[in-house]
Amino acid sequence: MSDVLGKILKARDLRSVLRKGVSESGQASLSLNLNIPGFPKSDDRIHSCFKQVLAELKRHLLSHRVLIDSKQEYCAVDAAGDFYLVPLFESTYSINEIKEISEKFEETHSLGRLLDVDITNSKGGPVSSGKAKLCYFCNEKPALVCMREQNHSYADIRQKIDKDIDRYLSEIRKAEVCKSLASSALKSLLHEVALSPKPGLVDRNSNGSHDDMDFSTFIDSASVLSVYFKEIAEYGFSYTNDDLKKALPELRRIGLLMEEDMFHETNGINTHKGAIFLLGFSLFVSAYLIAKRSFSYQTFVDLIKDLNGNLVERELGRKLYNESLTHGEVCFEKYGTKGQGIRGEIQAGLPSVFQHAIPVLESHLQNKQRTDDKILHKSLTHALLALIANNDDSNILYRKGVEVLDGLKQKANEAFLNFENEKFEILYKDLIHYCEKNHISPGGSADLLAVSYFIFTANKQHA
Amino acid sequence: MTPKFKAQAGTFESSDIMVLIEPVSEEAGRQIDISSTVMLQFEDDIKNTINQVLDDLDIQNVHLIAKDKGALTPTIKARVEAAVKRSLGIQEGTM
Repeated sequence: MSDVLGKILKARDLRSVLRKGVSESGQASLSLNLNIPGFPKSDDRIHSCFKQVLAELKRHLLSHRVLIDSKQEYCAVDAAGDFYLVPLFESTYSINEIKEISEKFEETHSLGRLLDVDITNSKGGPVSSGKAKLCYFCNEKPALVCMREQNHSYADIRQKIDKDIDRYLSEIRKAEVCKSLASSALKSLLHEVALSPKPGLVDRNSNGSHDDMDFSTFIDSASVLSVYFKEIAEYGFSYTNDDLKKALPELRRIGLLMEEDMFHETNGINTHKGAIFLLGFSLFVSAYLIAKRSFSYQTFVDLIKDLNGNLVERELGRKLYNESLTHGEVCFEKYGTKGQGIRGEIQAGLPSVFQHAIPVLESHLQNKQRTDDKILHKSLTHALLALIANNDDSNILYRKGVEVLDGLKQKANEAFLNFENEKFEILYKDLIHYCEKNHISPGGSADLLAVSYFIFTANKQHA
Repeated sequence: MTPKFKAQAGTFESSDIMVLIEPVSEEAGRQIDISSTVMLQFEDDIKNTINQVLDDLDIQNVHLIAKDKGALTPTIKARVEAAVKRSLGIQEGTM
């Protein structure tokens, strides 16, 4: 007998002893293992697959109200592979019904026959449904026939298993990444609007320089936009075409839907148009890069530039519609480079975000495991000042002209430079007062703040 | 040689086989009972494998009961050998 086979058989003996131990205490038990032929029966990838399946199985059992004695669970990896055993509490189900529930899990799972959930009754006997399961590899003959006849080569089976496990783990990763990105996108909008006080902008306590919207308008708008965040992330994660520009029509389609929903939700008020544009691209690019495990600030910038190319000339240089000019278009006509607004910012790879806001956020938040209102208030206020001080906000340019914009930037810069000292409160109040007096709102910087926080968070979680 | 004790080896785990040995009188011959979840078509296969191990170990008189859960030939051999050795008192093991 080979040494390896001896070890596998010994590991099975141990499993049998453990099952017996449970039945001797009068309880039925449930176990999970993976049907991996050959040796080794586990490795890092198989093990992480097992852990995921186990978490799903436990959720499945709990949702069907099959109660496990989780204080006495046994989980180990040995020569026979990954193994989980747990005693079952008595329930209203018969042991055969529990077997049916566990078979439903096996049958509906994407890894199907690779999973083996066994039920042992309280007398120590295996509970069988008597069904002959089909072969994992060919799905034609009964599994046991293919096993004994060795119908499929070991290499072929292992290859299929590797492929299936890869697919399963990557589906799980996609779901986790997209969920976290979508949640970060909404968080960034909410934390931005909740930051109070802010110069000229809508916050918890003030409408700033706006008379057509307030805090609740932003909450409503952010809520309806959040519905699309996961969709954009999933599109980016699964995007495989090397030509990223081919993604633009679909991204615009989703963006237009978001705008329609936003206007519907806010009764025609533009709360988040800039944020839709920035966050939409950022979600797509982040998910795309994270899927390839190559997310970094640098790759992000490169892709944003690559994706948008000569956005300024393309969109501001000519009319998309023959209707009235947008604010951005008016500014570009009037002020040239200084009036390129958000399109110029995107085309340059978001320099305000990466050179000004993110370094500030990092200085406050990089080593923080958790954030709270106080630390967010401090870091976001600081980053907002960095943005206002450096951003040629085309909205202000459009409404008030270059002098008011430069005055705003200068006041923001003074507050920024004195952030940690005693003059700050006065300077910040002065900035707020300046916005009130001129009736201006640095909305473009607010959008950039949200996207900076989003990219910072994505980097922290996924770089 | 003739088994002296009741003995068993193996488990009811998937891909394994449970082998039970009962001592019989000298001259009683071999009696092999197989229950298998594998189709009957493999019963002869399994029986041949078991007989081969018994031949190798020179066991002529024995009652052997096997409950198969899809074990492959090397596993069957290992489990039968362990059960026989336990029944002869030459290998430690649980009963």
